[in-house]
Amino acid sequence: MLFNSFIFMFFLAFLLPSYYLLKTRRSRNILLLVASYVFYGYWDWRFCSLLLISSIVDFLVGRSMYKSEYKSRRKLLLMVSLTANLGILGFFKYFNFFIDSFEAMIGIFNDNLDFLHINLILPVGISFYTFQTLSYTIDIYRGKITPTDNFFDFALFVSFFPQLVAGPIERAAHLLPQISTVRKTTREQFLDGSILIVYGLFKKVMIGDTAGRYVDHIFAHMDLYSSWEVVFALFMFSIQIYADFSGYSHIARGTAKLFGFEIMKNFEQPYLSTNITEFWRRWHISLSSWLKDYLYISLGGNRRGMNRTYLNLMITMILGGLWHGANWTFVIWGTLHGIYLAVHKFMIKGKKIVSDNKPLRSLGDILSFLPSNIITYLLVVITWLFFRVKGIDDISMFISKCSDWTWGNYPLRFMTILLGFTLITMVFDILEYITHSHVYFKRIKSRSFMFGLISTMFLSVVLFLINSKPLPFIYFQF
Amino acid sequence: MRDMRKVLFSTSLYLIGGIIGILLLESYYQVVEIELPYHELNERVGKKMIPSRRINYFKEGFYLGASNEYGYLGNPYPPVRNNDKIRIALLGDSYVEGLHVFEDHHFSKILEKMLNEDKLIPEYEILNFGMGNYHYNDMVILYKNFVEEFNPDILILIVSVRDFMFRDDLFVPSPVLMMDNDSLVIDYSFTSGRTYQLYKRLSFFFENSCMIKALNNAYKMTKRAEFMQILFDKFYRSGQNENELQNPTHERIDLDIRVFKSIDWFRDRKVFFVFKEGGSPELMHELDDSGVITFSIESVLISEFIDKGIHHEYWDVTNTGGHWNHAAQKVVGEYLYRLIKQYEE
Repeated sequence: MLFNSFIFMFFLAFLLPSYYLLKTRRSRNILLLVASYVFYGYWDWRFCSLLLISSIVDFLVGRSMYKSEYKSRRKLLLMVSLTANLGILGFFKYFNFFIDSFEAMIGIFNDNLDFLHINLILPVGISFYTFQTLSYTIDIYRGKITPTDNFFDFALFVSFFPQLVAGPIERAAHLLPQISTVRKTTREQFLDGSILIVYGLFKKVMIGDTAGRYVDHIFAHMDLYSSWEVVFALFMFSIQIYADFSGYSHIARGTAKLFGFEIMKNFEQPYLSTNITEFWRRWHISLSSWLKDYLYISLGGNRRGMNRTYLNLMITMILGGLWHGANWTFVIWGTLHGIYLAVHKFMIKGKKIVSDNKPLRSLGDILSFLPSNIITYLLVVITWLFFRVKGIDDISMFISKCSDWTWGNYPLRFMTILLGFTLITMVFDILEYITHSHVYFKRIKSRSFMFGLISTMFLSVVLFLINSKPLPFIYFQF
Repeated sequence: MRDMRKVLFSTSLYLIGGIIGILLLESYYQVVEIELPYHELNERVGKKMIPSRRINYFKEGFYLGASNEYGYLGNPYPPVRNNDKIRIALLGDSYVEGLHVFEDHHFSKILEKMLNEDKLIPEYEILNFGMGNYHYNDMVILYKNFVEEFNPDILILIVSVRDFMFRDDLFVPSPVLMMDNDSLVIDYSFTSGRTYQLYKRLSFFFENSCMIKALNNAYKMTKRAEFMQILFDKFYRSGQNENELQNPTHERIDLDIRVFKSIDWFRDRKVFFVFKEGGSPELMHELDDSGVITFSIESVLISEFIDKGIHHEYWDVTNTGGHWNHAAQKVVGEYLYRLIKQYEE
């Protein structure tokens, strides 16, 4: 079920009153659990079995691990969890990729491995809930949390529908206690939630999808477009992916709030970063912090000297790239980010990192902020090429197209469109940056005036949804 | 009383917020080109392109371009001719309008390029008067009240069998061809209808506001079967999805007397009726006998695409069926080129 569809609005309109009518924690949790499985099964009911398997395995492993006094047994149980979860993920997501890569490697012997290919459908959001449920068993293993005794609570933690298919990847320490306690949605939570949903829908539909239409058409037939138009499409993709994913995260957070839950922020104006390290603290925060806590630190982090730190960064980012999709283009994307981070680490060696969200009070502040911000943004845009293309051939097509240096018939119009999209994205980000809030609309003194603004945003989303097919969220494929 | 005032004050603020929101959104739509309006409801021809308008259209394909200063697509050739070039006017529906590929990839441009290839001074001018949702009735009226001014030498009407079925339930108010005793006349009674009158009063908004266009499109969409699909998704199954690839109609229809009478209006030009689909031999013979030259492009498209297992109306980007795709545009352009060259000889 897509957030940007009328069917989701009906789903929510039915679910919310039913939820509020129920008074006990247990009945509410069971309703949310059933709703989450309906939400997920709407794509394909067969995928629910994978969700259930992950939930059962990690619930049992978590309890046994906590009870066990022997480290070796605890380690073995952790391996069971890792094998089961990563096994399912690996099979559905990476099986054909590894067969393809192996086939390419032994291609010189003319061996054909076609018979090994399986027509697999990638279950939506598998990478997200796999990482979420893994964090539970790893945290129990590390002694950071205690397991829950209630299977339904745990199953809801794994499948909680607002953040099930594209995050934020929640930690058990944060979400499970909320599931285990009696919740009451406050008026502020309801208001914040509603604003976040409309704001997220606007970002997704009116910025992400409208920008995405250019991107999809131009990237699908780069040979038909001019150099400037393909470069335009790349910049538009940087806007599309941000509006699409941050829009999704707002809707997820907003929906969770309606049910009395607080889930973590996933974005903090990443394109206002002044260096790549800061970018990764602001972009897909739940994934970057997961990778840091469970991979980078497990590899030794920065405790084993600078060379090892660089290597750990590279490994983390390459695996992070591969997490996004089974394609060499994602490996290149991750590698580039790894190089950027390593270079930045080298550059700031010994220096103190200036804290994020620096106040920009004077012209001098802005002038010193702009060059580093623009450079960081351009470096990120370069990496988006590898994220967007379907294969290595597309990269060479893009480069050869750029080298033509042709403008097309309407260069100024494309420029204006890009500026329009950039401007609205920047205005939203600057408002968030200044107010330190995603619900900055609440700063407007008159609530009636604010509702007037929000209503028109919602109206424009509804009109657009009627007039064009809803596009799925980009991160659903991961 | 105080409560009443408070409610009024809040409502006013809500409305002010809404109006400011709409103004901001309108500016955003205009800059990033969402739902740009480019049609007007002309009292002489019905739906018509507004001159010199930006057009940005997405459906199965993508078009970014503009109407020219005379209100059609392509190079701006003025009505008054001051050269010896051969002028070709294209008439038809959305296939001819072609708002799913860039102008350079449209068959009219491919045709113009091929005709003028290797010539120091171009010898041919192509004027594209295609318009989405046009039927034969609309093409004839557009010709009579607009295209004729441009004095084309050759008229190419790209049609399908369905275009010859005269409709009573016009979705967009338009003039219609009527028989008055034995002569063909144009009935403009739509101008006194409620829809046209409303349009006239609000024409500034209809012709300039993206938000109004979005609202109008949404309203039109609510009257189509697709709307239920959008609303209820998997819970609704309609008989036919508009975007599915459809098989052409080869049914035999009896041509209305208005068709034969209207052909008289084209008399002093060379006229080609090119059937993009369907077109039974009997129907084509009947038209041939009345003085026009008919062709069907369907067999060419079948041999070039369908026989090779691909569909000329399939769009991989959006994974939908629709109008002629990029490859088909080339084939159609080349086909029309051969047709013109053949008749020149």
